[in-house]
Amino acid sequence: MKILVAEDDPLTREALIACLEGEGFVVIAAADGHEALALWQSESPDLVCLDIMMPRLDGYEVCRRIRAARSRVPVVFLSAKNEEIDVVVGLELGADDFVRKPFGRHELLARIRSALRRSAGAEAANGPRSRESFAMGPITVYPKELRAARDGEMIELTPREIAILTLLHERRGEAVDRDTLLDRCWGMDYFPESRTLDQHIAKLRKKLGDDPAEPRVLETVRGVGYRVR
Amino acid sequence: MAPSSRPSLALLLPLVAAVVAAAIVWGGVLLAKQERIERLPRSGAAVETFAGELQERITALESQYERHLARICRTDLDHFFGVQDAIDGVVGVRQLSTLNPEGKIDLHLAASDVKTIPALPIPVIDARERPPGRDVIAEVGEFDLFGGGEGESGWIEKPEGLFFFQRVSIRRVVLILVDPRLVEETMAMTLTPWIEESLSASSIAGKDQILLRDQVLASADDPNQTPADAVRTLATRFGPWQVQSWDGRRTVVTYHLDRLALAAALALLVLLAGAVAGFTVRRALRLAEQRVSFVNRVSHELKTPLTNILLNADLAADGADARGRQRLARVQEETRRLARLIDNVLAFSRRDTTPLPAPAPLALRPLLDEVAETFTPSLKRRGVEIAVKGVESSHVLADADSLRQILGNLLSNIEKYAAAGGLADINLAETDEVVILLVKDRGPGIPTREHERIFLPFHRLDDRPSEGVTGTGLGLAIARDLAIAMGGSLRLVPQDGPGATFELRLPAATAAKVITFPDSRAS
Repeated sequence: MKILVAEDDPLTREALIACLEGEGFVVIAAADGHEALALWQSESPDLVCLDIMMPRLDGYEVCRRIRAARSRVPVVFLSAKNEEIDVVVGLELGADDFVRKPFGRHELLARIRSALRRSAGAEAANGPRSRESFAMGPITVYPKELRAARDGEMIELTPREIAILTLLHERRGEAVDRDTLLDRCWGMDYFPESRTLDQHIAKLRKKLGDDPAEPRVLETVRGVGYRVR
Repeated sequence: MAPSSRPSLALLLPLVAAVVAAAIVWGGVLLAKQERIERLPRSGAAVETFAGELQERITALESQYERHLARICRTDLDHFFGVQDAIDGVVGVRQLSTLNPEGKIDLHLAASDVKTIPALPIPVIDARERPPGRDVIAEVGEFDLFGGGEGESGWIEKPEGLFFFQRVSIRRVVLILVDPRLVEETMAMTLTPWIEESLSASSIAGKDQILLRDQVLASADDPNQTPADAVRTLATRFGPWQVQSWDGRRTVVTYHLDRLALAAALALLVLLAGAVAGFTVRRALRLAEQRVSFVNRVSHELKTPLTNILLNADLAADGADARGRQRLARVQEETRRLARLIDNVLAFSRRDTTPLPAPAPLALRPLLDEVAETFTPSLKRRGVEIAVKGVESSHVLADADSLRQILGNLLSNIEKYAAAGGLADINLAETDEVVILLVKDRGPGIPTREHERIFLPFHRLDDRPSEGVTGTGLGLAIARDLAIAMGGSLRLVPQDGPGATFELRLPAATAAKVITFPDSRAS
């Protein structure tokens, strides 16, 4: 999942990148509106996160141009004041949501997640394909919606968790080694420790209701890695 | 982004002024305008020439008519059909009679179109006196129609009618009754083409008319409503003819210069007022826009670092131990409070009508203690003791953040201006309906004349040393606004001794409805 972040404040930008990458999103960042538009065209992100007050080209204009190009990419505004929202929503710039500054990681991720989910839902409704999903034992995973279902209950997942589950699902029945997992789910220029992978798996098992003492979905293959049956 | 309807006022005002000014100028011109009708006396010569010529033509036609009548008289009067033809051949002839000296009628004939022959109106004619210059014989005594020589002819005007007579022999007089109207109309018909031609020729100017009795025969212009300026009556036997003529008339327009000048001055004044009003409104709008954009910028600038603090605290919490996470949670709490305060101040600056969150029942004492605790370290550093006294269980209907902000502003003022007194007292009292909070200090006090002014935005006491003191001059204004918004009040209590006492009144809440602080406002 690729997210374009446009924010002129370097510290905010850096913090946004850290928060989103921590969740497993691929983040491309722009410091102004022009750069944001260029990156949007070259990188085709899954979601655009726009600060409103930016030099050269403000967030409104970036959003307007994205929509003028008939793109349906979800746009989430980062806004500092109340009336800005009136403009975003009232003028029907086509923004999907907004996060009011100041915001914490939790609020940001919740908004992004819901925007992505709505977008996936709209895509499924419009397109010929039905809802994308795959099953893992008692669990059904919806990768585009960043969630899974178990016994009718929805479980929120991060893009990284989705990536781990997808990889294990693609090679179901075989043991996927740690290096492959780290390489495929964290990326080339990211060097997580092995412990990080174990922590993620532990967290994932907890989310999915998989007993760590006797895991039934995500099995540990000692000395190699993990496996899904 | 200002609503687009507002700048239009700046344009509308001068526009309205321009319209009013135009109306004033128009009205002024109407008032100043004076119309006078000037007469251009016509030279009578042209009319006179025309009338003279017309008179000649009429006279000629009359003579011609008389010759026709005389010819009738010369026909063979014993030849009945010949006479009848002669009568019918001349216009206006109604009857013909012949008389003998005995006064008997020999012959009596009427024109063919006369249906019934009335009894011949033989006039009792007396012609002994004949008025000089006229053929008409006066009606004095008995007129002996046979008194003169043969061939004599003339006219007799009697109430019975107009008669032409000719003594054809000493034994016979022919008497012809003529209808003057018919003759007159025939003459008019004959003359009209010439009259019209003459009138249309430029020889006669203006609105002259030729009248036959009351009938306009011809006119050079539309019949004028005013009486004619000159009337020339023509002498005719068969009816009155008139040439009426009018003087030329010209409308002369003049203007009262003083009225024009007054109107112009008024219009100019209105225009100026409109321009000034438009300019003022535009400037006010620009200032308002600048202020709004300033507020927006400030809002953005303040909230960016707050966002950074929150996000970094979140990120830092990932790798922190339990105590560290607790601390970071405090950092986040405080950051959010700061954000709320900024929102309040900015809202005040915009003077928005945005209402506060609905006041909720709130236990007052814990909040007071919390605020006092927050201020304790900084007050202590300045040698000020802070104490909260009074009822423990008071409950108010209030917004916790707003109340914190009011108290914070009052205590911050003590910290800034009244630290020398060494005391900050919060006293709590209540009645059934109100909770009264008294915040006292023993500082230099506030002059009586300033008691109300200190609540005005940006107002600051001039004589206060400003050394090391920071502030916006908004604290008390915001505090009062918030108090009023919550249905309460804030004022400075008059007092004799040193120091100042602020009284905050808030509506009391019944204990039953109370939700315990601090959970009440958790969002």
